[in-house]
Amino acid sequence: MLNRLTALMILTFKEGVRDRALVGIGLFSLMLMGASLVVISLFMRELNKVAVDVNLSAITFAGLMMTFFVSINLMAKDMDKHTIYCVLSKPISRSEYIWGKFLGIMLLILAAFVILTGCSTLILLITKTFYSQWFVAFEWLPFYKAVYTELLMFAVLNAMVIFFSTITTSSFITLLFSLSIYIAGQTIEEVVLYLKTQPNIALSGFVETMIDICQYILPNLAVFDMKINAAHALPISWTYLACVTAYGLIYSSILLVSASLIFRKRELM
Amino acid sequence: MIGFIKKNNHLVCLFFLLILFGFLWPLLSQFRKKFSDISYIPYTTPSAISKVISLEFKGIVSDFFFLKMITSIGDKVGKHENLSKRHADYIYQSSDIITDLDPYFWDAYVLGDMTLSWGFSDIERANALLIKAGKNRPDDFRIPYYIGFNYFYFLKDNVSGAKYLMKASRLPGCPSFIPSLAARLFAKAHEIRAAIVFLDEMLKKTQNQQIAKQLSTRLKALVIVDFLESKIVEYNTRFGKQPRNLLELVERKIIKGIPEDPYGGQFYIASDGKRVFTTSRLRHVGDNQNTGM
Repeated sequence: MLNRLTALMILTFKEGVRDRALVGIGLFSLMLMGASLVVISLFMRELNKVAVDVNLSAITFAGLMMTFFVSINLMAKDMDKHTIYCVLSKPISRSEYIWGKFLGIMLLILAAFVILTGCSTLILLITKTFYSQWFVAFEWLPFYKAVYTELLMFAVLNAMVIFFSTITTSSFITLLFSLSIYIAGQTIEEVVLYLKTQPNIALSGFVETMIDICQYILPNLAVFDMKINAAHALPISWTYLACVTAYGLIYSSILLVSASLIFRKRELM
Repeated sequence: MIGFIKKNNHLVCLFFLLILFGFLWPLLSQFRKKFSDISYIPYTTPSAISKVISLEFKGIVSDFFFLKMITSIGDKVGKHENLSKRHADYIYQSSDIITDLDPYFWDAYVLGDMTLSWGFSDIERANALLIKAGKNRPDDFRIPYYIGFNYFYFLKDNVSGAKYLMKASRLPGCPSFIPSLAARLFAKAHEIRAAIVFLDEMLKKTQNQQIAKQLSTRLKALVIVDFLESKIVEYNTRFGKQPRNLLELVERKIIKGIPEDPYGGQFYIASDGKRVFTTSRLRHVGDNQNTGM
């Protein structure tokens, strides 16, 4: 089973690497990182904060573009071009197909993260050398921890993409659903907090129940956002990291198991 | 000729289009210049909306809003344009939103505080921003130090000022001069010297050239005021009376000449015979109300 999963993972990874959109996404992110070298000179003192903000945002942006354009295509292409028949005609179960695809996509995102984090490290080192006087509150560990939590967020998001791919027949609908869940997941915590702390907003019992349900069903993607901590070199505890890792892995697994269950029953035309 | 055009129709077309573009560009630039010359106050988006639509990019969005605040206000200060209460409102709201997006963004608190206090004498809102900073950065000595400064320098409330400075002196990293400054304040000592120390500390830690230039001008003016006040004391010690004007200091060869005000005004001795003021009121001459930070 492990061999079959590894084979599918490598196949998906190779297929993803061939996508030319990756070059554009990578170049754009590198340009954004490079621009930080110039942009930070316009700020006052906390140049380390601005440099980290821009670099982490560039990495996240690249991850988002890959998820919404490359990952969705990787799932949809098999169905559209009927190449899925070739894969499933081999002794590979449908569940293995789902997990293999997910691992392949994650390997692709991990590779992109490694490259972009390397470039980002180089840019931060250059910035630190040029503006050492204004690079006081900066530490590498929170920066790398923030990159790691972002990677976890993409595990959840890509599991979501795979889940929607199994229940829809169109890649566009998968894109719409995934994008909506991403926006909702990033904002749900903020919106719930706002609604519950505003004395002027009176919510009916039904609306409150709905909000509570949404809060538990939707992934709380804000928990993976540690960019502000990294920007100000605020400590991110190992306990928090462990908790977030467990949340990310469990949520992704729930989605992938559900996707496997649905995909096993699905009629492939 | 016609044959050439027919053969190279795309090249000819491109040539004419480039000529047209060449004519159009200066015209468009003129229109755009009119747009950029129009003095407007940038909008702010309430925190409840900004925080939600920023998704996970709150840090970079706060940087963008901060840059917008620096450039829009800096541009007006640079052009010595009149700034009104609406601009003060914009600065306060903008700083508030930026620090809602990133509650640890110290530069946004400082710029808001400095502009509101020095430029608009709006100490209440300057202190409100600093108090918000204190909630998010409880171990930062600069926050009570800045609040204390606002109390004694602008509000002339030495007791509250000293109280905040003492609070600052108990926090980690606090420079050694702050406890003694607090002690001097309790004794109602020179505010000018404290202002010089304060601005000097700000200047050393400011990287932005435009803001550093504004701080430097103010610092130069205050150093001159301090110098002239010390010479008045010297005059009084030597001749047993207060000078009536600064020319008397020159005539008695206590100073070589009356220094120039970097803001373009003229220094004079106040009616108490001890303090020195300037006709510019530390604002560029010609401004009615300028941040002149």
